[in-house]
Amino acid sequence: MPSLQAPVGSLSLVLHAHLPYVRHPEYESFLEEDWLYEAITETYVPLLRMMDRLEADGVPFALTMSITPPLAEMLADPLLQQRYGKRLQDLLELAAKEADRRRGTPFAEAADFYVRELEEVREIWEGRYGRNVLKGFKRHQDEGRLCIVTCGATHGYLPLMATDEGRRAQVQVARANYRKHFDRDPDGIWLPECAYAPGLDRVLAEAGIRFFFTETHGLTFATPRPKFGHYRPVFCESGVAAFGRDPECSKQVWSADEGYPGDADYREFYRDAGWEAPEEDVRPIIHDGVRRNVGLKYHRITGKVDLQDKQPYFPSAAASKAAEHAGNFLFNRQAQLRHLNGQLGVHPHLVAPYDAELFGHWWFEGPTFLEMFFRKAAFDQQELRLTTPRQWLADNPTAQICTPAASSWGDKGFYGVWLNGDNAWIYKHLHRAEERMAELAMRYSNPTDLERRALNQAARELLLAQASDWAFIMTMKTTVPYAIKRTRDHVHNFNGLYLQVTEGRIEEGWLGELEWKNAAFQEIDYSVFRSDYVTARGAGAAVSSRFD
Amino acid sequence: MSSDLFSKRDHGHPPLGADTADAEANAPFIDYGKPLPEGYPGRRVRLMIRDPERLFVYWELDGWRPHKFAVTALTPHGDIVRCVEVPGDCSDAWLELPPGTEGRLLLEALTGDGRHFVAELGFTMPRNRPSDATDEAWGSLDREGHLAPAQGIEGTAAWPLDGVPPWLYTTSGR
Repeated sequence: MPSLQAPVGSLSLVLHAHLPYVRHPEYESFLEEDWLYEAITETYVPLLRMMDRLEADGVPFALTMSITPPLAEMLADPLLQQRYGKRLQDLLELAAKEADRRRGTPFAEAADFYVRELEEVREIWEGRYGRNVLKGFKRHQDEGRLCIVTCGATHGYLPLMATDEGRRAQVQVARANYRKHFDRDPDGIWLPECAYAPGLDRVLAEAGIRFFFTETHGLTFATPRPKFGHYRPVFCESGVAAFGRDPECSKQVWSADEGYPGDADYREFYRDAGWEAPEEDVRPIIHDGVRRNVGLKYHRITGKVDLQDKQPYFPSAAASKAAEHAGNFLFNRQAQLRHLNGQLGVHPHLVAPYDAELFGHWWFEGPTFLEMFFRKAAFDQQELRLTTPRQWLADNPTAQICTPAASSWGDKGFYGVWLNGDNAWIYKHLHRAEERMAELAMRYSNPTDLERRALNQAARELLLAQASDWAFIMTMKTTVPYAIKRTRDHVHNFNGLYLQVTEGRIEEGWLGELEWKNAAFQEIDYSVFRSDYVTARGAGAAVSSRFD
Repeated sequence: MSSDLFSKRDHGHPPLGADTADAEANAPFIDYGKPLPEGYPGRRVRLMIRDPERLFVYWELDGWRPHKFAVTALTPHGDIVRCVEVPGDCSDAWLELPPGTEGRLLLEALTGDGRHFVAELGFTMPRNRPSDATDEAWGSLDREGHLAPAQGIEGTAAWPLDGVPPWLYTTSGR
C-alpha cells in the first residue's frame, strides 16, 4: 500500500464555460444578452478573482477551462463590454437602493454584501483587466496554472452533422479563434455537449488537438474494454487521448439528492429582487417593463418550503458552508483515489467536469467552494495531486489504445436531447446548408472581394445556426421562440447568401447589415469548408446520407 | 423552487434560458424568425443515429408523394428487424431497434402499382454495455505526436469494481 503522505492519484477539475453567441446590435437592449452579463458578474469574474487570490497567496493550483469561441468572441467584443459596463452600473445602483431599503432588517448583511461584491467585480473587470476577462485567463494559462481548451466554433453538435466538411470547419474555425484570443494553438478540446462518435478524434488530430473528454461510458463502453475503465485516459488510434468523466465527482456537486448546492444555507436562485424591489428601481435593468430575475437574491434555500417561506440569506454562513463542503469533497476524492490505487495497483486519474456557469450563477457559493478546495488541496494533504490533462499526458506518455464509444453528456448519455420530436425539423435545413457551403467553398477558389465577404458571411451564418444550444432549448422548452428564431434567421441568411453568390447578384447593403449583426469570427476563412482539405472522411458521424 | 434545481438536466442546474423564459413568454409579441423553405431541390435520404435504441430517417424527394412510405431495418442477411409505414405526405420516421444492431435501412415508396425502391443506407446502433473485447494494445506518443507501440501498464483491471463505491461518504460525513 502506498504511504499516506505520497500522492495516490490525480484529479483534473474541468470547467466548461460556454454561452451561445447572443449579441444584438440591432436593439438598444436585448433580453438574451443578459445571459452573458449575469455570467460575467457571477461566474467569470469570480473565477478569475479566485485565481488571482490563489496566485497572490502563493497557493499552487491546476485547473482546466474550456472557453468556447462564441463566449470568447463576446467577452472581447467592445459593444457587449460597453453594454455590460452600463448593466453593472445599473445593478450597483439597485444594490445600493436595496441596501438602504433593507437596513436594520435580517437582510442587511446580504444587501451590504452585494454592494461590496459588485464594486469588486467592477474593479476586477474594468480596473484590473480593462473590460476583457480573457486577458486574465490568458495570463493564468501563460504562467502555467490554467489549461484553456477550445470547443466547436459555435458549439455545433458534431456527430449530428451531415458532412465531413461541417465537422472539420467547426474544429478548424475554433482553432483559429483560439489562436486569436490566446496567442497559441489549442492542444485540448471540450467536444460540444461532450458528444463523441467513433472516429471524431481523427478530425481533432488533423487540427493538432491532443486530448478531449468523453462521458463516462465513452470509455467504459470503448473497444476493447479499457483495462482501467475511466480511471485513466486512453489513446485513440489517431494518437488523441480521451479522458472520461468520473460520475462520483459529478454526483456530489450536482446530484439532486446529494449535491452540495442544495444546502439550506446557500442562496436561493428563484427568489430575486427583480420581482420584489420597487418598480422604479428595477426598471433600468429589466426589458420592456417585464419583471425578471436580476441577480440580487436575499433569501437562502432554507429547505423544501414555498418561495414565500424562504428565510434570510447570510453570505458569511454560506461561505463557511462552502468551505466545509470543499473539505468534504477533498476528503471523498482522497478516499476514492486511495481505494482505486489499492484496487488497481496504478495511479488513477479522475476527471471532474462541470459547466462553469454552475459556479456562481446557479450555485452562488461555487467559486468560494472551488477556492477553498484548492487551498485545502495545497496545504492540508499530499495524497491527491491536482493536475490537468496537458500535464498528465506529459507525465504519463503511455496509455491503452481504444476506440471510445458513441456518447454525450445529455439525458441518458447519447444524442436524444439534440435529436427528438421537438427539434428534428432543424436538421433538414442545417444539413443542406452544410452541403451548400462545401459546394461554395469548392466552386469559388478565387473570389472577388465582394464574393469573399459574402462567402465568409455565409460560413458565419451556417456556424451560428449550428449551435447546439438552439436544439437544446427546444427540448428543454425554456426560451423556445428565441431558439427557433435564431435557427431560422441564420439558415434564412445563409440561403439568401447562397443564392446571391451563385446567381452573381450579391446585395452589398444586405451583406453589410449581416456582417454588422452577426459579426463573430472576423478572422474566418470560408475555405475551411473545402472538401479537398478533409482528410478524415466519415469520421465522427452519426449521420449517413444517400442522394442522387 | 430549490427542489427543482437539478431536475431538468444532469448538468446540475436549470437549463439555459430558464431565468429569461418567463420574461420572454410575457414579451409583447413573439418573433419566431424568418420562414424557411418547405424543402430543397434534389433527392436526399439521411439516417441519424439517436441512441442505442432509436434512429431517425428523413427524406426529400422533390415533393414526390406516393400513397405511403415503408421504412424497413434489415440485418446484413436480409432478415427484417423492424418495419414502419408512414403516409406519403410524411418525410421522416423513427425506428426502434435493439442496441448494437448492424444492418441496412431500406426506404420504399408504396404506390398503386406496388413497392418502389427509394434508397438504402447502412447503420450500426451503438452498444449500451461494455465491449466483450478485452485484448490490450498500448501506445506512447513520440515527440511528433505519433503513436508508437509500448509495453502495457501492470495493474488490476477496473471492471470488477462495479457496484457501490466504498469511498463515497455523505456530505456531513467528515
